[in-house]
Amino acid sequence: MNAELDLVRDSVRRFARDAIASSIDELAHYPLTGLPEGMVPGLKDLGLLDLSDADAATLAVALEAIAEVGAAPAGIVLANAFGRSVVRATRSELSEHNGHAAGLCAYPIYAEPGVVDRAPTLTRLGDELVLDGVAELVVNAPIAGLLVLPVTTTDGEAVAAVDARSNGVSVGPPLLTLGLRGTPTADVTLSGVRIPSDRLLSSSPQVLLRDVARRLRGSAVAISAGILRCSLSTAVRYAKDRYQGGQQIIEHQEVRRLIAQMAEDDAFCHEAARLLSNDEGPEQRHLALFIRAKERAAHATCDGVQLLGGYGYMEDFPQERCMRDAKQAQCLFGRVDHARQELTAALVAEVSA
Amino acid sequence: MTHSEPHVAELGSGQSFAAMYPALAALGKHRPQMLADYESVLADARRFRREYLEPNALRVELEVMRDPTYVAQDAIVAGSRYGFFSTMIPKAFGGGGLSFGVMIVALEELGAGCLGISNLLGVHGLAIATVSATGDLGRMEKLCRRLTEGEKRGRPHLLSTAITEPGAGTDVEDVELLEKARLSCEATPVRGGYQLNGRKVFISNGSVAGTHVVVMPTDRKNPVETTFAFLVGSDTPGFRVGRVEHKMGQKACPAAELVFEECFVPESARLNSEPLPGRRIELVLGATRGGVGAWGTAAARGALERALAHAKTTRLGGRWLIDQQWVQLKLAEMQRNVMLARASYVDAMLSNELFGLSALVGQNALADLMRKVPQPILDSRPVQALLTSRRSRETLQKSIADLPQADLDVASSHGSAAKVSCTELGMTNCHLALDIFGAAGLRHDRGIEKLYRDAKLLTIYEGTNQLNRIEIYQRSVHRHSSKRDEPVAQRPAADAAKEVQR
Repeated sequence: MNAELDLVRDSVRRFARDAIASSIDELAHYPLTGLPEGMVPGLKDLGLLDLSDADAATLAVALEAIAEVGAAPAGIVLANAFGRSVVRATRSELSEHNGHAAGLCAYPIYAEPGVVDRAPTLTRLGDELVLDGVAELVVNAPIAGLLVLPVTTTDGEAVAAVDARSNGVSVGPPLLTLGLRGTPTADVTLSGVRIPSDRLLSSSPQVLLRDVARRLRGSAVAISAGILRCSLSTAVRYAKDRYQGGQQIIEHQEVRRLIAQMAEDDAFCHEAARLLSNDEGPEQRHLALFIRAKERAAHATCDGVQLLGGYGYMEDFPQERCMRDAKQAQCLFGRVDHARQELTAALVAEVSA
Repeated sequence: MTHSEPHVAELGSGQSFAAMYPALAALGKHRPQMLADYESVLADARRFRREYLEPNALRVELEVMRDPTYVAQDAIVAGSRYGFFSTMIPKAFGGGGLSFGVMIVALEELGAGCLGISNLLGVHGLAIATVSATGDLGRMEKLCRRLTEGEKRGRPHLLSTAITEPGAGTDVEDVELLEKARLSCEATPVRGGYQLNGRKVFISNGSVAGTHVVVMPTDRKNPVETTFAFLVGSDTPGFRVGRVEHKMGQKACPAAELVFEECFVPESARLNSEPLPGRRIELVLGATRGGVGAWGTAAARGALERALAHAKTTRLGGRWLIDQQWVQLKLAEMQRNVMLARASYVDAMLSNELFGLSALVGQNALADLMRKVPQPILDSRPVQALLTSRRSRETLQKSIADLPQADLDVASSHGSAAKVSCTELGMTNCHLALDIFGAAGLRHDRGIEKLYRDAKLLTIYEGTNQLNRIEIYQRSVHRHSSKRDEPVAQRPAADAAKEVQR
């Protein structure tokens, strides 16, 4: 298994070095520029768009390797994997829903799984289902064939699979976001969209979505870990080469302290991604690792900017992108403080059991 | 530690409480006019924020994202209608005559609306402070007249301050680092003037300023004793604007590379003063770092204002965010941070008014008095001749030279403390706000992600927060004699207490 993962890591790193590194500027300026043409086909050729929560360990290794160079394509892979996992869990045939971009799935991965507050509404009309309303921040929506969307029904909540080309589906312009800018994201407006009833993917969506999110936590943290690795290695190189007051800034104890702290967080995030993707340990430990790793990466990448001073704030170095991406990645699968409420609930449940 | 050494290193022994907490010293020098000025400036800033900043900040940023050379000329013109470019110029030189401390209050308000545009306006003030610190009243008067006249015509003449070099950032602001800094710029003395060569980088307003206050040594091998300020017009042969930087945030305030290639400036371009490194730079930074503190407070407050509005209109798990305890306490924490930050920068501002640059350049009770003198009298030839005379200049320069080290320490350490505290509290609040927003906060159109990007720059410019911590240590924790100042003038219990009595 380890050898297989090493193989995946190596091949993804090669792709990242060749394809992602060369289009990093385009990715960083999306949607003000176009998405690099070869990006989605490249991810598909690597087999990354066929992965789901069943391949959590592989996914985590691949996403960390991508994020070490540029994290935006990792967002594409993760949203697709989330959508596929939901579909797979309901035993629907994904191939039936092939869209125009290699059957790519879209899913709002920044929302709290199983919490539906602002979602399209679904009503039954004979054998058909009708969708109306706006789904916000749907990741991959501008490039996906299949939109997997939490919706509200008269009975509660559900998840619907909507062909992106259906009548009444309007994908808004790609949104400019804080980070992961090369991960195409848009609001989707549904106006009387009719779907067959077999596109209602689960009758108990909260459990389904939380299960998928739980299995993919390691992948989300792997993105944070990769981003932090990029920031750390840039900081070390810069501190070694930059002189201030006649000496390399790496000779300043405060600089060493900050770098060491980043390295501590880097190690923590990497191990957290591995443990989470291997599904090791109880739920409460999962949640604790998930919360802390994402938060630490977001804060440590701010130090990554600080270590480079003015240069860290400029787009010429990866630091500012890492800082933005890490804060964006912190929001994967929702607010950390919401996850904290769940963590405590899990602890209470354990004590009560 | 040996038994003979004390177990407690007392801080501030021999200092009056007012010196440790300058707000108290300010009580003793209370000027009713100053409070009136705060309210007046704040009212203007609020109106400008409401009428221009809130409707335009995101649009301007998008314009710059599409074209980094875009300059929000409409912001400059709109700001000039409020007199933001001349408010702190002495009335005798045609300006509003308000103190820098009063303007700081406006910076918080403007920054809460948009840090980038606020910086576009505020960087101009940094240059005026730098010119003030040289004590060269003659040249200052000429420059100020140009600024005020431009503003009256609706075509403001902006200033930039060019200090940072490609290989030397923080170094240039610190005497001890400057000595060994990898400088590339030099103003070589030539017949009739100086020839400037080299590159300055990250210069805020560099691509829009009409005049640049350029800090360069005349001998690169001896920068501590030969660094001066030069006034360089943007149309000077041999000068050009290089690359406009692509920044993460504060995009409305362009940061540019300034290139000097055999750029000749006459002798008169050099501001007449002792070398800048040491107390002159410290006087400037002691004043302007408090201003950065105001922007840090602005970031903290802007984050709170946006998070509060979002919490009132958003549900999570079927309940309004504002009704959830974890959100309420985060908002309370953010308000606490705003309060702490504001206290810190106001303290720095008062330190500067009493012990720093503002105390020296007459932005005090004398300035209040001057504002009551009719403008024609101030503009009259005898008054102007007196103000710009060699004697006035020498008097001011002597005041700078005679400024007790203890006073300078109070102003510098409080300026640095405000800079570090406020900017880090600003970042903290941005993190907290984004945590409350969740997914919605990631969108550009909500404004909070922009504030997060904008706020980070505050921890870097005007000396990184790390350098400022060193400053605090050396100024108020463990004084030691260094090349940055004369031997320490001990003023046991004399300083602020006497100021209060006066």
